[in-house]
Amino acid sequence: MPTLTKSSIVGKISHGYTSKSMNLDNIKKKFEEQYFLESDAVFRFCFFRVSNREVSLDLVQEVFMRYWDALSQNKVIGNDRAYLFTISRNLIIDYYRKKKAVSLDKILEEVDDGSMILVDHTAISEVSVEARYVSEKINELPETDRQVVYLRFIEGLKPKEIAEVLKLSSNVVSVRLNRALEKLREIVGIDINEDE
Amino acid sequence: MNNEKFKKGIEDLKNISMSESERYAVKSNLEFYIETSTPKSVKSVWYSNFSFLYSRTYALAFVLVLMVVSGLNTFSSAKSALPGDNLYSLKVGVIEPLQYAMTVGEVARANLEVQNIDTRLREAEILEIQGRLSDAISLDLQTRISLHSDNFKVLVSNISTTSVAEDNSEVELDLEAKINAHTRIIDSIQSEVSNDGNIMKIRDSIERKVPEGPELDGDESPKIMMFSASSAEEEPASSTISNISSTSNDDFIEDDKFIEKKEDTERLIKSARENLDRIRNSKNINSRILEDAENTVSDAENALKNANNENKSGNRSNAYKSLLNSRKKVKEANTSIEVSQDLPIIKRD
Repeated sequence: MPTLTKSSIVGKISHGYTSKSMNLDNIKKKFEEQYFLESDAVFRFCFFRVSNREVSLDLVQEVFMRYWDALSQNKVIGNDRAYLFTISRNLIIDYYRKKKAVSLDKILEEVDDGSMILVDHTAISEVSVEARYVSEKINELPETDRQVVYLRFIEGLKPKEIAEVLKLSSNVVSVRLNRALEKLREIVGIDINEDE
Repeated sequence: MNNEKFKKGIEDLKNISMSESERYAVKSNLEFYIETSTPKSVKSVWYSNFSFLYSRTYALAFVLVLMVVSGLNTFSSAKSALPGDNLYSLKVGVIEPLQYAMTVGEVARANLEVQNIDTRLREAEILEIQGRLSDAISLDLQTRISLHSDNFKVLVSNISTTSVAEDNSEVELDLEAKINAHTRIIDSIQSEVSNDGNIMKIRDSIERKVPEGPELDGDESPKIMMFSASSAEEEPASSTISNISSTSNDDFIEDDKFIEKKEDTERLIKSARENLDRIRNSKNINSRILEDAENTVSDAENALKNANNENKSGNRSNAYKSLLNSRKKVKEANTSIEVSQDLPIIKRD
């Protein structure tokens, strides 16, 4: 079980006032809907990058706390799903920055460009052979392409949403996606379409 | 690894998710976070019960309400103010003129002036009993009574030209009743309170203006007609009632009007009797004034009986004269009853 304590949450509480125009019940309803729809995707995204289930759960919690803050402060959120992945990505970067056990230089090199980290095979040992194989093959891609492939094929995000998460233009995402598919075909030796 | 297995690998990766217990744990923590971070639980240190005053609209409304409430309180206090009190100038300088201005019609205004004269006399009586009726206050009250009476005279003359004679006679009757009642009340006070005699100056001032009319039915009360249009020398018996006797035509008094006034007088007498019964045993009543009121009610009853007898015998002029006398008496009695309850108890030496 994750080390989730209420005291750790209380320390993170922000006391911002809700805008007059907001309806708290509607916000709660929207929050619960998004949690129901996206919590697993957020968890998966974090899990693949930090390779630790408990840390991933902590990150999921933190992601949704920040999401709640944004909603309650009436921030304009264009795409909730993309917004959740953006928060997740930023928190993962923060997590690695704070992690002392890993070489800081290596982390910065790998994380700052938003690349995938699937180095800890124990983290995915619980998944099937096929799943581990796919993750290994994705890891063989250049760092700039890994996250695009993951978000497109595993999470099913559209290029526009991926662009929002990675803070890139849609064109750049499309180019990277095509290039990654080409390379993946070469690595795996099978024909992979973007639709798959 | 073929295509199918690659697809299966992707599907397996997609199926990685939190367990139910993990999902529940995270959700319950989030709910706690939401609950504790909800703005309603946070109270600003600047908040107070008067925070609404920071809004200009609410502040203005609050001030207006405050002014109205305090104004009403002040007006209410001022209404019972006596000469020498701080609020008395508000009473006579603002409230009464305002009341006069808002009163529509000559008859209503004449009645208001009667009421004002009654108020001045009551003020004098209260101050006399309290030993606070100084020369200056006495003079001030005499002046005010004189002003009220002058205005009353003007109003009555206007009523005579613009309205029916009955309105005129009724309002004059009211004034006569008030004056007569207060004259006797002042006499009662003077006999029991040994002050400087300033109250008597007020009494004399109202008596000086009126000639004593002839006795109509043998009673000893002064016959006062202060504000008749005619002078005392021209028409000595110029009271409202004696004016009736100067009219030789009995037919001018219509039957229905006589009956209407008689029934109204009976109601007044009944009401006076009930009030007397109610307050007779009260300890906080000036017994001498009350005794006088009882006698006056009896006079009113006798006058009413006389009116009925005269009416039956066909002497309608005398019947109406007795009826008016009865009305005046009962109104005097009612004034005495009211004043007996309002005045401070006279402490006998």
